[in-house]
Amino acid sequence: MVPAILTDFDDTAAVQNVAEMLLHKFGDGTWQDVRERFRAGELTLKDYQEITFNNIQADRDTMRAYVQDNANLRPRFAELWEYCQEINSPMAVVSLGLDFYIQALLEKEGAPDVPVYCVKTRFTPEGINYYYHYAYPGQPERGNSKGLVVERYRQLGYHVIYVGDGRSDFEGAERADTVFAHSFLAEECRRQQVPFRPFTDFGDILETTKELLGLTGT
Amino acid sequence: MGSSSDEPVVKETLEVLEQMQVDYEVRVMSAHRTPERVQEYATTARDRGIEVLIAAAGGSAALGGVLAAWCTLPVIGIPLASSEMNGWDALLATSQMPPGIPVACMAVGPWGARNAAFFAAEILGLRHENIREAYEGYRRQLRER
Repeated sequence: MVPAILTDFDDTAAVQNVAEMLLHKFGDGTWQDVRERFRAGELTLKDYQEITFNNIQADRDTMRAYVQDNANLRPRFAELWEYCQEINSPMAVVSLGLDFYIQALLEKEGAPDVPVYCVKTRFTPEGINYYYHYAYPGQPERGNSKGLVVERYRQLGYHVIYVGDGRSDFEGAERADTVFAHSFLAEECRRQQVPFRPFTDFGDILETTKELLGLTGT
Repeated sequence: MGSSSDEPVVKETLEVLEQMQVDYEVRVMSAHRTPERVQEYATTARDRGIEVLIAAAGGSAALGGVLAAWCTLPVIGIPLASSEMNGWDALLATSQMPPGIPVACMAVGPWGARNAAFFAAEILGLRHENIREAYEGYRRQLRER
């Protein structure tokens, strides 16, 4: 059974919530109010993200540099990626966040080639354009769907290991074969009786990958 | 590209892509040595926002054809002169695709590598104005030379 490892980015692959880190640093005075409207269910995550990032005045390179100076990947991420390369097993980041800051951190941490499912952006003089390539079928207003990516890998015959922390991760987790969860996702999995394992770093996922491949005694 | 030894030629593609303001990613995968990786890459590419695939390979040069077999994105093939046959083998392998599974075959070697990027810019320019403008600007320069 070949495992495919799909991991969320903010607060999961990355130690920090990089999107919020950028908003704290570069966002205008309204972003926290917009976040409250999102948390209250008045806005979708897609709208929250687009509104808040559209109000940022900093350019792409400035934000990339800030991420590279201030954010980190969770320990042993790069080691897991290298192992997956060796055993020819897929690994990818699945995020509802934005490409430029995800790629900036992956590059800094020596894993620039990890495939990334995320919102693609293009910075233009008129503002940021956003592209959603794995949106919910028939519901583009909801933005991208992590569940869709998990299903794609399952259809290819992989044993999907999903790693996440947040509300948007549950649709991925409930479709995956093995789930690593913390924070909200762990609570939600417990509530909805979806089996999961806790994790502290990507060494936990590495060990499970080896277990699946029959390379350990457990 | 089919092998990391193809990199010097592929570098010509990347330089043109940058000139045309096309975002890209580069992967090494072999249709023969790592077929599962090629399948995974092709079947998930569209979901990751990829709009055009460029495959550079020499010898039996199956990479472009296999990518085309696994997805419906446009595939551009660059045949490389990496065997005793100096690219004739790769040229025929890349161009002689069965009906319904096309690969747009470029010239052998560096000319093909550069044209692959220009052709990708033409395709992407249908949807992305900045790429169309970059390519049209390049063509204007050619006329003015």
